[in-house]
Amino acid sequence: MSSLDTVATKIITEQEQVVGPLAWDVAKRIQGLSFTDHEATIKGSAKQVLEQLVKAYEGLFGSASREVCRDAISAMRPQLDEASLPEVLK
Amino acid sequence: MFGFRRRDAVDKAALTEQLYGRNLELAVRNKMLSLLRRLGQLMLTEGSAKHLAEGISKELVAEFNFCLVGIALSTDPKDPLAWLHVAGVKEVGDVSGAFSGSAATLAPRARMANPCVKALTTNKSVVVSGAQGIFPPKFLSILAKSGSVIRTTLIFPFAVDEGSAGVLVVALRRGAKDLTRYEKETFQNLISLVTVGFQKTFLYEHLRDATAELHEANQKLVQLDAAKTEFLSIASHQLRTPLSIIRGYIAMMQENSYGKLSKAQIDVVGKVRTSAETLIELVNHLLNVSRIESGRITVTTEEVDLTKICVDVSSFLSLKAKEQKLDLECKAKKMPKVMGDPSKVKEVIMNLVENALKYTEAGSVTVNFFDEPKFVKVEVRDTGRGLTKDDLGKLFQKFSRGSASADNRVSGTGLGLYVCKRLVEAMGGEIWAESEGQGKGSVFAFRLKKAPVKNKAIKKVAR
Repeated sequence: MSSLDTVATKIITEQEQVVGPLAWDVAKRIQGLSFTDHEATIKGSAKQVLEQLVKAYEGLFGSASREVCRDAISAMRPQLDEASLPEVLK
Repeated sequence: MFGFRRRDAVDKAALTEQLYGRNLELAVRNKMLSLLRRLGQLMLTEGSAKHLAEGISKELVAEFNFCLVGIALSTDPKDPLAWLHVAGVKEVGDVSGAFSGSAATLAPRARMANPCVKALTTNKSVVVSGAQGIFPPKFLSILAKSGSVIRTTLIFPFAVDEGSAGVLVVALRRGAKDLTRYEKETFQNLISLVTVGFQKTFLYEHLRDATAELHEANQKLVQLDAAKTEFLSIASHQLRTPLSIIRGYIAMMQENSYGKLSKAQIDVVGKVRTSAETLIELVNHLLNVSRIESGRITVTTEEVDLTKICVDVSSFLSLKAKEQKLDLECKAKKMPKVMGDPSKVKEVIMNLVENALKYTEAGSVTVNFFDEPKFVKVEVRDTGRGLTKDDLGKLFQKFSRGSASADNRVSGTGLGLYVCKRLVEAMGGEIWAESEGQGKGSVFAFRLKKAPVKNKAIKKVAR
């Protein structure tokens, strides 16, 4: 599991704490994301997939959900390559 | 129609956003409460400040993936702030070595330039860029090797008691603005919990130390008490023999065995005899007390004929009563037998009647018996000096004497009633005193269980 897969999983689990299983249903509709148990794997451009994921939540639940996504990866951020993250997460 | 639909969609989106906001608030609160509950449990179970600091640091690092969480404490304003425990994230590894020895000291409390001391003194949290002056250089080099950099250090002060205070230090690899809502809310509520936790452990530690000191002091007292009892026992035995010899010779002198005494000699010898008897009484009481307190006195349980004892006591003391011009009456009607030790029951009645004679200047001393359903009550009533309320509360204590003895006209050891109480209690009975006040006489009474059927003597140790 790459660090960006962990980012996707962390975002979904954080959203799950707010909206429940709906968070996974939203994620399952994102192209480029596949799931094994409760772990997400990104196929293709991670930057684009993560952007779609964050925007999907934002489109449904508003700007507060984007903050949740940012907070979700806050502790991991020092270990991540900022260039690999979409603008919506910066 | 189209406008309505659009407004409807906008309203729905706004409602969803609102709901999401509320859910988010609840989720954050939920997570925070769950963390605080875990920390609360930790605080309940941990008995030492060091272990509590370790538990809190590890829990915070695990929950938030903070680079490092440390707790430093100073138990006295003169003492420096010193690290109690520091926990770091996995990537940093075990950092405890970097905080040991001289590096265990964070800063003296007078060094105001240190941000931790500043936070402590101002009682306000401090946010520092980087980590200089807070963490030991050895730790910073370990951190550099692991590729981590502390970008922000958060310092939260807490006061434990008047002299003790500490800081919770959180090192972040990100800026303070990157703190999540959950983290911010947690910090707001965490410090009061940490304060209470340390207050509890300090109280517990003080209590544990005090208990240990008390236990030690108690052990010493027990040893001293045993030594005192042993000393009393030996000393009393050594005293009693020569005193008995003195009394014997005096009695012989009073009987003119060594020639007729002059009036002045009779007077002096009488005084010597009184003093010798007082000393013998004291020694006997001390012996009794030491035997009782060392558990060496044995009290048998058998049928006791109170009537016979009463007759014996009154005939023994009748001469003394006559000398004092007092009426000594024993209403020794046939009473049921009681369970006790005959010699101890006699000692108690003798003591009570002698006491009554001592403190009665005129009138009478009467011994009465009362047949109660399960007990027989023995009452020694006098028309003497009486007792105050204060006397009644302490008469049966060791070395306690009633206010009537304050003028020193009556000699006494303050041990007789204490011995009586211990003996009566050892026989399963109770003893007490009554009086309507000074000058109104007094009643000393005790009760013992009636003998049910014939019983064989059973030995029991008085405690």
